[in-house]
Amino acid sequence: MWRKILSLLFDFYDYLLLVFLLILSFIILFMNEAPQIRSLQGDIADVFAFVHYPGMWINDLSGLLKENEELKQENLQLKLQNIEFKEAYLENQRLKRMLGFMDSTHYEIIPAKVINRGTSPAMNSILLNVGKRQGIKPNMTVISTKGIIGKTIAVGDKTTQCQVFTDVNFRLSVKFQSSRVLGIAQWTPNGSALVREIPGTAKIKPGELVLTSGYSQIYPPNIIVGEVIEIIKNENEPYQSVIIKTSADVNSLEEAFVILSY
Amino acid sequence: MNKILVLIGFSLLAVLIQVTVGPWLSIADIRPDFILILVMLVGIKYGRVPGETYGFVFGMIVDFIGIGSFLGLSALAKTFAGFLAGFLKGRRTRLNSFTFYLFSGLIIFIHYAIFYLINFHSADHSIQFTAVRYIIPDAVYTLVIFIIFDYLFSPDNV
Repeated sequence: MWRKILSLLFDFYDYLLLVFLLILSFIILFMNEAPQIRSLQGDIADVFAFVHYPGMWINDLSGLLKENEELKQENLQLKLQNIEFKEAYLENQRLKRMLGFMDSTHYEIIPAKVINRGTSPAMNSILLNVGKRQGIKPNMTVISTKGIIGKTIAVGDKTTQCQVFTDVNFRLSVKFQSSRVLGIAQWTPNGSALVREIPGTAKIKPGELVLTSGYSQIYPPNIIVGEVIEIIKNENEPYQSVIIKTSADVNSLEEAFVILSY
Repeated sequence: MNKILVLIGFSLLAVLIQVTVGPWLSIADIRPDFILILVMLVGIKYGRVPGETYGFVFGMIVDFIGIGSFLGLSALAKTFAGFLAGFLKGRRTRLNSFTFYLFSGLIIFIHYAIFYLINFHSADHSIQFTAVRYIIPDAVYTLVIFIIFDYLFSPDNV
C-alpha cells in the first residue's frame, strides 16, 4: 500500500513540486503587504543593489553631455528667477508676519538617486539609493522637483523601493486648486491620470492645477500632481471624470526626494 | 557543482542584461524578458523539475531585488513557464523548428498572461486591452529574442 503511494508520488513528483511552488508563490503574493515581507524585500534589495549600478553608469555617461548643456541653460534661468523669488519671498514674509500665519512648508527631505526603474514597464516601481540609514521608512512620500512621484514601500539599509504613480494599482487623493474639488487619481495606460466620480456641478477647467489633498496619512498637502487637460462630462450622468497630465515624468527620472517629515 | 556555478553566472548575466540593455531595447514600453528566456532554456535543457525550481528561485530573486509591485508574481509566472518548458526537453531536435517555436511562444504567452492578468487585477483594463497592449506584444518580442538566443546557445548543443 505504502509502496504504491510512494511510487505514485515519485511518478508525479514534478507535478507535486509544481503545485507546492505555485501555492508558495500565492502565499507570498497574498502576504505582500505584511511588514515582515516588505522588510525582507528591502534587505534583499540591498544585497542585490549592485546589479543596478552598471545600468546607472551607462545612463549617467550617455546623459552627461546633454544634461550639462541643459543645466547651463537652467542655471541661467534660475539665476534670473532667483532674484524675482527673493523679492517675492521677502514680500511673502512681510505679509505672513502681518497675517500671523505660521510657515507650514518646512518639509524635511532627503535627496536620492534612482538606481533602477524595473525590468517590466507594467510593474512600476523605482529603486532609490537611500534606506534605513538615512531615516527612510515605508509609506513616505517621494517627490521630484516637478511634483509627486509615489511612496516608499520596502526599505533596506541602503536602498528603498518606491511605488510610483504610473503603477495602475496606485491611488492618490487629490484636490483641484481653483475649484477645491476632491477626488482620487489613478494612472491609466494612455499616459495620463484619471479622476472619476467628481460631482457634475463642479466647475473644473482645463489647465487647472491638481495638488495632493492632504487627506492622507502618507502624502502632505499641496504637492503638485499635474494639470487638468480634459473633462469628460455626460449630460445624463451626475458625475464627471477629469484627465490629468502629471507634472513629473517617471520614465526620465534620475533624482528624487523623500519627505521624512512634514 | 560546476553546472550550478555556470547557472549562477548566467543568472547574474541575465539580470544585468535585463537591467542595462532591457530599457534600451524597449519599444513603446514593450521589452523582452531575458530572465524568462533563461528560465525557459533551463527547462528545455534540464526538464520540468529543474525548470520549475529555477523559475521559482529566479522569479523570487527578481521580485525581491526591487522590480515589482507584487512580490511572488514573477515567481508564480516563471515557475509555470519553467515547468512547461520542461516538456520540451529533448524535443529540440525531434520537433521541426516551427512547432518548437510555436510551443515556446505559447509558454511565453501563458507566462505573460498569468503575470499581467494578476498584476492588473485591480486596474480598469479589460482583458482584451491587457492582451493587446501588454501580453501579446511582450510575448512576441520575447519570443523573437528567444529564437535568436536559441540559435546562438541551443540548449541541446551546449
